[in-house]
Amino acid sequence: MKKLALAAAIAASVLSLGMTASAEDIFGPDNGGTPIEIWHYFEGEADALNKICKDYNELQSDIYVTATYVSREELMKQYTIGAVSGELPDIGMVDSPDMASYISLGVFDDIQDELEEWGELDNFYEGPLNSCRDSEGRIHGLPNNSNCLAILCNMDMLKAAGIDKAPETMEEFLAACEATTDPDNGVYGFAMCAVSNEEGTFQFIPWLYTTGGSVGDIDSPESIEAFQILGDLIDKGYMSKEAVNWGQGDALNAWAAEKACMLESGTWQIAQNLDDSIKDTVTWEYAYVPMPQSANGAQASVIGGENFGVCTGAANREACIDFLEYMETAQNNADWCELAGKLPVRGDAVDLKDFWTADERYKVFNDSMNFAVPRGPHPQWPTISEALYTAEQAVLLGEKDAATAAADAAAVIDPILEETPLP
Amino acid sequence: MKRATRKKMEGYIFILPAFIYILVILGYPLIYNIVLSLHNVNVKTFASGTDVFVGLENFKTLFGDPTFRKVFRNTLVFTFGCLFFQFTIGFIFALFFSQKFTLAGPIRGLVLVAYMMPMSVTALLGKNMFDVSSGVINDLLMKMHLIQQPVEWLLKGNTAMGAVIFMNCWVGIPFNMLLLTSGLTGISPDIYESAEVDGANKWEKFIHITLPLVRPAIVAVLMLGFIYTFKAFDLQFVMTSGGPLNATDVLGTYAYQLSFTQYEFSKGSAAAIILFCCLFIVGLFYLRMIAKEDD
Repeated sequence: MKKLALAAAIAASVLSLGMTASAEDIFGPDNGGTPIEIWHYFEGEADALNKICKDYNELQSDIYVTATYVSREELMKQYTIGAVSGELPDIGMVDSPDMASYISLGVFDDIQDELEEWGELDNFYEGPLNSCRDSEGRIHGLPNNSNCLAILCNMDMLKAAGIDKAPETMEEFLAACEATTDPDNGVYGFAMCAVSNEEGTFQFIPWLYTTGGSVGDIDSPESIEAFQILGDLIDKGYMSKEAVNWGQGDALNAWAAEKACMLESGTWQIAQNLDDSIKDTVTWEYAYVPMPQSANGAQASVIGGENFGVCTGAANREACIDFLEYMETAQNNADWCELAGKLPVRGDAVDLKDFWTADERYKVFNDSMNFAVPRGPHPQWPTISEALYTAEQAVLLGEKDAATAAADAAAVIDPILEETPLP
Repeated sequence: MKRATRKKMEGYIFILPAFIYILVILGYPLIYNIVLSLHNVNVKTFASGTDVFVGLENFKTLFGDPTFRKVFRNTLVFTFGCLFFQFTIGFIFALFFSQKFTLAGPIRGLVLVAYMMPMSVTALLGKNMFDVSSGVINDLLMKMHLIQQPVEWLLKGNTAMGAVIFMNCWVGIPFNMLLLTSGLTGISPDIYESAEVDGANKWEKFIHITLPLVRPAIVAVLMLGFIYTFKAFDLQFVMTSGGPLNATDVLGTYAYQLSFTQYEFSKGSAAAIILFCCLFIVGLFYLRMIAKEDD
């Protein structure tokens, strides 16, 4: 019996060895170059990134690039620890609003001179590229992809409530919220993420700028109005208070479970969820519309996305920069973003394919980039961000009125911006 | 004399490896942390090395910050809340399962499953169980007609703290039961028998025999419980992220947030030092009690 168990265990381990893909399978045969490691937190997009590495490894023999997945929380922690210990990858990926902090901590090298020699910086969109700059404007990396936010509507629910088209203005949006909210069945008009981390801030920013408010003037009447609009959604029962505990994935789950008619949704959710994980769940007609327009015609979304930078102390720095340039050529950026379902960071990449204009869903996001605002860049963005989501949560939970919450946020943000203003 | 000195030297050599271990593994990070807490290292000064010595400024700032005071109060409420419930219930369980009845052993073993579970799993369970719309707790309470509307457990400060204490007790009760049971089994049945001969009733036996004899185990369980609970991190981090609005933030999660989310390394270190000092005092107290009992 024991022998049998042992044989089974050996067979299982041999099988599992056989099934595990080796580095050579994923990143191509060893080209004899210096091993270069990339750390990233891509999940659904990992295959697209691995493909770029493989293609590059086959193209040259200076470096052999491999990519390692590290969960987002862990990755952020490792960069911080790495800033002290020096144990950093050669190339690191980072969420765009966090880049300024890591540049300030010395995690990413200044590669502006090399990138200028490359001569393609002018093709990049200003917002994403600016998120790679330090407080003096020097560039420390390249943006890889962009995304923004729009409203995802369950059209069947809207139609059942007597509304034929997805809401475009704030007035229509609020009317649709009212019409589709059904407390008896636990259905809300709207769902969003207001969780206490950067995701919460990300989803709050469009509302702030739609009303004419801004991070730099967080206690202005316009900014207070943004807090008020969201607070009213809760007070009137159009949105669940649980939004304060929902990440963007949780809010999407609520929408997919038909607990909400409309959702503040991100570009990546098309490829990763609507076309993949919840493909079979969503049996109803749905449509994307840009974030609602305010009465005076103002409209806003928020820029998200990831950047890659060459870390301080990287082996073969020049070759790492060359890899970044390769990864972000117009063609590669377009190919990658199409595969991963994201928006390109360069104008000439968008022109290469009709992917972002032919698909109605992507078109909404692509158009929304015209009025999407960046977060920062600012080295103390995490502290600013905390003040923003804390104020938002205080209003949503009914702990503070909009004006008090905004004033409290200003007490944190204003001194920071006085010392180092936003660009 | 010479021989005595040699003997003494031998003693020191024996403790040298342990001393070096403590110095490297505990001493270095602790001292580094103290140094950090006395400077102003943050995202602006870190890479440029422009941080300066600020003395106790970080501690002053922390105690002047209403959020930190709230976090400190939370830590105390969480710790004493957990200690009270997990000790009381754990003790009752220990007394109950020390009775000789069929299946007493296996059931006691089953109760321990909660203790063996990783805290992050317990925290995730808690997050789902206390969910407003789909949590099993609200579902049960509604079905039993104890509540009419779902309770917003993790959306209100007090109930969120209650929920976190509940989940911690889930793990803490078996832990308390385990230690107290071993204390109870150490009491010789002869003592109870002779007390019975002298005419003692159950209550008298508990007060005059069980409690005094199990006292070392009680002290140990309370002290260890205090240390484990006071430095809590993973439960709050996963279950509530310290929310809503810092209502369940404790020193551990707050220090982490300062250092790793906001890159306020010095303030984070200061918060960690305050945490350490509280535990150090309790630790000293515990060591003194053990030493007294050994005497």
